[in-house]
Amino acid sequence: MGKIILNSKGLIKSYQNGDKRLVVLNGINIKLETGSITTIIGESGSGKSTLLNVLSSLDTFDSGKLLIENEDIRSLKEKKLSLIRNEKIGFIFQFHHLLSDFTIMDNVLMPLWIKNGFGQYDRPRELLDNFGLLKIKDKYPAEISGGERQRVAIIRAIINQPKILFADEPSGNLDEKNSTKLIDLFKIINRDLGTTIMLTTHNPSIAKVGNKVYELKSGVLNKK
Amino acid sequence: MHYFIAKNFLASMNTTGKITNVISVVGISLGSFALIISISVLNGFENKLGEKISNFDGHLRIPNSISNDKLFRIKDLKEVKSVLFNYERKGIINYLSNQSLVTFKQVSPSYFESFYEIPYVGDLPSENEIFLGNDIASRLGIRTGDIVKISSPLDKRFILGFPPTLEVRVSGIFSSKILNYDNKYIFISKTIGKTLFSNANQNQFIDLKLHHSSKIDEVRKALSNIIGGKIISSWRDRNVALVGAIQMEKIGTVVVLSLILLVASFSILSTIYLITIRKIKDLGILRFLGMKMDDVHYLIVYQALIIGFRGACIGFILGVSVVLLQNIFKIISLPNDIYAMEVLPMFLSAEDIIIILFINIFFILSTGFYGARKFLKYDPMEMLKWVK
Repeated sequence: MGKIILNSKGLIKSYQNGDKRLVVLNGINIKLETGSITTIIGESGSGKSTLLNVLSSLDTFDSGKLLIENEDIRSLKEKKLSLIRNEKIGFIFQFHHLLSDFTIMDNVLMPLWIKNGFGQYDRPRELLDNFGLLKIKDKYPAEISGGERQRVAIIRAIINQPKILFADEPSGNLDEKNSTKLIDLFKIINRDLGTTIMLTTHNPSIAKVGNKVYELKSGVLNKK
Repeated sequence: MHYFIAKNFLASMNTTGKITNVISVVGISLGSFALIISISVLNGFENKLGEKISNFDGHLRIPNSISNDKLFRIKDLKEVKSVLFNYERKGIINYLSNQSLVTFKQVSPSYFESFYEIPYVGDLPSENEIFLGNDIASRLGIRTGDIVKISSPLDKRFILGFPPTLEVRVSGIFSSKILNYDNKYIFISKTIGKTLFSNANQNQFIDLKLHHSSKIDEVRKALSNIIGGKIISSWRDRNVALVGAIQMEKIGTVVVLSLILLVASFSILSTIYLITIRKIKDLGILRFLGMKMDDVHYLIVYQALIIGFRGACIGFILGVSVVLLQNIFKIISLPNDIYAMEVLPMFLSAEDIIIILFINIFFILSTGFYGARKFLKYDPMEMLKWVK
């Protein structure tokens, strides 16, 4: 068994909906081992995105405990939390969320700029080259295809060599061929960089990429 | 990084944003321009006034009670152009049935031409002639060559006696257009003074004229080394109320014109609000990439700085150009009979530029920080939720 990099204990997350309280995550217990790939499957609206947002520190939770590399996320100040997001966590959204006013190169450079300051760095060029995207480095997100945008989002997510990579329905907007390519890319990142990956999908065939597969149903996480 | 991101956000504004941006830039440039022009005009008038008063009264005035040895040392100072002994005493001038209270200014006619630089009609006075101000002449109907009576009631020998009176010829009429000098002064020679002022005939003070008015402080220091603790005054010291009024006018002008910058600041505020609301999703993306809230704060401040800097640059360039063009080509003229100067005087010192720059920076930074602070009221997670 590998070292535990993420450990959640009894996470509860709910939303107020009028007079009612809607519990989306109801006592989530999950441990991620270093270098593992974990997939979460579940129907649309089951709370997969909320789970990923909470586990990646992007969103708050009502109760429970979340440890990333033994640091209690809830007790951290804003600056430290930002540092963890920048250095230890990579996040890929279904809709890429690239910055529309910046070139592909700028988008990829952004986490590096936040970490090390404004300047030129070699790594983005190398990664863009490896991913076959160097030729579009000066284009803007609106000028490239959906598949290219998703790959740019992946490069941006791994540029700071994070310990954990979260991907929320990464293949949700891609066709079969591009989905397969993307999954292969995750395998390469996991194998070559040793990055722990957690991804959500509603596609059972993509879920198979995980060493561990969980199903989220009615706010409860069950191992498959 | 902050500048780069802020610049890109500003560049991507929609039409509404662009319009408010232009209004902000125009507002700041207008405010800076107005401040530069009005301060330079006030400075110009102040300098011109100082120059005119110095042409009449000299740059510095010292008491006459100093030894000849010290006087020679003063004359030897390389910045001192000329030295003039003065004596002033109240008196009366009579012409036909008119009379007026005046101040006799006793100076040596031989030094007159080298010291005074004032326009006049007629001739410079000889030992037995007087030289009077244009307003006195107009009021009493005196022309050059007329014979007038001058008397000094302060020098009456007996309580019930008549004051010493002299009939003298008016050699010339000067028009200094300085304060009330043309309505106050009559130049007389030492010969006339001796006859008129029986009770006091000592020179009261010495006026010093310098080669350059900028050396006043330097010469003042040298003078105090020579004459010790005696009072040394410049035109500013002798006209404290006037100088104070000019300073108050300047402060008032700066305060009033700063209101233009205040209004422009509101425009900047609305621009950065528009951008922030429009770019809140992008700011959320930057937050999940690990940008600290302080950095988001600085991004907003930088946007205000960029807008303000553009406006201030335009205002400064236009303002300084107008001042330079006016000084080189004398474009704006003034009616000489009213202002006693032919062109609009404009002067801008480095100190003024720094003050105007500081006022600009104050308004722009305050706007940026205020806008950022308002925006920071949003929970960081709220921002992130916009991107989910």
